[in-house]
Formats: sequence, structure tokens, C-alpha cells
Amino acid sequence: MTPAATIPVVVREVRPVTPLIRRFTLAREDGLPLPAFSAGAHVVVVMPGAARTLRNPYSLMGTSADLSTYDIAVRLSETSRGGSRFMHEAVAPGSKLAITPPVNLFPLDKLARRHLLLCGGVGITPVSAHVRELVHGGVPFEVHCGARSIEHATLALELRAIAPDAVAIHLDTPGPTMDVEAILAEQPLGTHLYVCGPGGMIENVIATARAAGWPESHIHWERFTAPPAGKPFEVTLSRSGKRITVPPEMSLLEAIEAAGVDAPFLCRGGACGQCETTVLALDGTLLHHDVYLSADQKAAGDRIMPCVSRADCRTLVLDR
Amino acid sequence: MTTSAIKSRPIYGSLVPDPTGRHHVVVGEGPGTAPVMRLLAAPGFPEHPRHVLVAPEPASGPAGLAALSACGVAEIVPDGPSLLRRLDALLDGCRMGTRLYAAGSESFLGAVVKIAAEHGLLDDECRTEHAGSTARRVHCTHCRQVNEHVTTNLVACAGCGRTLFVRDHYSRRLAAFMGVQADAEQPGATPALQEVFP
Ligand code: FES
Repeated sequence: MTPAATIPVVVREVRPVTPLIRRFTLAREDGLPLPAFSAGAHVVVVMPGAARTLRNPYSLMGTSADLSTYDIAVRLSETSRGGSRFMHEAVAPGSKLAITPPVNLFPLDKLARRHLLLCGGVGITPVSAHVRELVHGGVPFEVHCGARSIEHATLALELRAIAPDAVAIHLDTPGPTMDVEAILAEQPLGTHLYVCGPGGMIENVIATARAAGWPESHIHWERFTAPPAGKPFEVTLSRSGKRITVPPEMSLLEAIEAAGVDAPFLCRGGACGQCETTVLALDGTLLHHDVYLSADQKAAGDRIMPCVSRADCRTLVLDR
Repeated sequence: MTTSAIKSRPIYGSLVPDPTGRHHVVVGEGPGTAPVMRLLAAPGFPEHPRHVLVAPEPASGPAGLAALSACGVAEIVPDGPSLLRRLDALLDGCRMGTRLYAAGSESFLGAVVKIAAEHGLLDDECRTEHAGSTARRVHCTHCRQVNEHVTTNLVACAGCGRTLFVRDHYSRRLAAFMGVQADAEQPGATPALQEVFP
């Protein structure tokens, strides 16, 4: 996907949801309906930051039943590189943004006999869409939402109002927290597991599921890794004949885009593989932060996922 | 083992323990009894809960049955169809973490895979091993009748009486090979009858 494919949108409404999360309602600037999507889809929001363009992926929370608007929820990140801070501080009703068409990397599995959804924190956003789709279908489902405390559980309470029998809320304070092992132990054959939340939670749920004998084909997860900051490094883009410096706060992909070079992406979170770029020459080490490449592929050092990964190098030449 | 270059043809492996499972359901029919016994005796077959269902060949006799119970076969059923009914009921009560192992004729395996799919089991939860006859289940594309244990290239459909030519096209959904009217292109022109799936 390249910037040319984006859809201009205007912010219709901004509502605080929890002390850290705001919900944004977006509509097309020209008033036409937005593209249809399936539950679990995300868009990349393109934000005109003061210093540079920011692009962050956010899950769509509603359903395709009403395509006049999209709803996204943005959590203000303590370690924000600008995206979530921009959304919280610079965006108000009437603000103009652009979005990419929706892409679904976290769909519900059509072969499932039962759906089990576990989410923590702002990881509830794709699950909000899943639940709204599931209440209209015939497949049984069960949802467990983790939140710090009741003030942080607004979206979970909303889901419980939609599906009172299917949604359980687990609060860190006062507790008890989610007993993942107990939840996973008693699931009937044909259940599919979906998990979205902080990295540590996802890793814990996946490890617990594997230990309980869940096969990989039944485990689904979505994690948007925010591109980590790092030391600046220089890169040569061989196809476009450019030499660029990636500053500490910018991802390699952002630096490539800032140089005016179109590069593919879907998730901007190291998960989908779309941005994979061939390394033509390297004197130094690649700092892989994606969850897409295998350990062997990472060790080979012949490719990189520029949306999240960096390098500690004297020379890096990319086929871009 | 049945092998074929036809893409849609199911590929069977051999029954080996999957140590990632937490509960193991093992089924064998007729000549599939031998692979089941081999699996149960395999070193490292985890001591996890397991349930073994076997429909042995009628000729196996009391000694054969004693050998089966000696290696941990929990239930011996009279024939394939009753085994499939038991399997269906058993899977209803199973939890995630279950692995299914099946050995037997292609007809039997096809039926097992279909029941497994109806319970939401995917490929990485099922192991199959072909044993004995390569007889096919043949689905009549005209009347939808399924003809069991077809060993010849031509078969008279039990549903509509047409002479069907057994194609190499396998449907996973129906767990059967497709049978089409043999002389559809040129009435009366049917190939010679041959035993091709002994
Ligand atoms: S854009 Fe998805 S991995 Fe980089």
C-alpha cells in the first residue's frame, strides 16, 4: 500500500473512553460510504505531524452494517513516538486525516465451532468488532477482557451490554485477574483462540495454550509492535539511488517514506510481512523487532522488515 | 500406503505419537488394527489419557482380541459403522488438546476425517495411516449416492443404477471420489471393467 491509495477523512466526534483511551469517529470527506470490512480489520491512520507524517495502525471497532463512519480507539502511549499523542492532543472534531483502506490480519476463523477471545487493555478494539459480528451468527463464543480497574473497563462494559452471557471482565484491581490456564483447559473441540493485548499477555496466553495441547492452527493473535526508537543509522536505497539517515525516533520505513520513496506496508507492526525488503549489503548487525521472520531468516541477515526493525551498522544497502 | 500424483487425493502418513497433545483418541478398523497396536507400543507414546477404539477383522479370534486388550485398547466394536458412531459421540465430549489417530481402509479414513472436520478438528490434530485395501468411496455426481468399497474402475451406482466411471478427483468435503456416468460422452461406449483399487 502506498500513500496514493489513502482515503481523506474528517473527524466527526472525539470521546474520552477511559483515562487513557479516546474514541474517534471518522467519515469520508466527500460523504460517500467507507469501504466494507470484516471484524478484525484495521486501517492505518496518516497524521500530518508538525515535523513529519505519522502513520499508525488502529483496529476498526464497529461492523460493516453502518459504513457512514468508522470508529477507532487510541490509547495514549507513555512511550509515544508521536502518533497517539498527536491523536490525543492535536485531533478534534473537524480535523482532517487520511486512512488506508481496511485490511484484515485478524479475522474470525470460518471453520471454528466456537470462538474464545481474550483481550487486555486497548487490545479490546478488534474484539469489539468480533463480538458485534458474533452476536449475529450461530457459532457460540466466549470473551474475557482484562483491564486495570473499572475506570479502564468502559469498552469491556460496552461489550458485556451487547452479549451479557458471553463476556467476562477481569480487573487487576481489585482482582482476581484472568486465570488463563483454567479458561483454556475446559474448551470443547473445535474452539479457536484469539488474543490481543500487551506483548507480555499475548506471549503468556500462547505459551499456556501450547502447554495445554492447543495446535497452532487454532491460535490467532494480533500485536502491533510500536517501532522502537534506537541509534541513528545510514542506509543506501539502491533502486532509487538515495542515501538516507534514519533518526532515533523514526522507523526505517518512515525514513524511506520521508525520502519520497514508496514502500509497501499493511500492518506497520512487524506482523504481516508486507514490507519485507532485501538487504543487498551489510556491514554491521540488523536489529530485528518483527514477529514475522523466523529465527533462521533473521540470522541469515538478507532481509529486513523496515516498519519496526533497525540496524547497528556502518553500511546498509537495501533493494528499494 | 496409497499414493497418487493427483492433488486432491488425500495423503496418508503413518501413525506416530504427537507429544504436543494432551489427550489421544486412537481408532482402527480391520487391517488398521496393526498400525494402532504399533502406535500404542511406540516408545515415547505419551502416558497422557487416551481412548482407543478398534473394530478388528472378524477373523482375528479370541487370541487377537486378547492381544488388543493387552496393549491398552479400551473398546472393541463389531464393525466400522458402529466404530464411527462411537467416535462421533466420543469427540462430542473431548476438549481442546485432543489428537486423533486413525488407521484403516480409505473408505474408513474418509469417514473418520469427515467426522473430525465436523467437530472442528484441523489437519494438525489428526494423523491417518492407510492399511489394507485401496477400495474407494465413490460419490455419484448424478444422484449423490455414496458407494462404499469400490475396487473397480466402473461401478453400478446403488442409488440410480448408472454405470459410473471412478475418477481420481477426491472431495475432502464429501470424503469420497467422484463417479460420473461412464458413457456420458458416447452412449454405450464404456471402458473395460478392471479391478484397480484392490
Ligand atoms: S508492514 Fe507488516 S510487517 Fe512491516
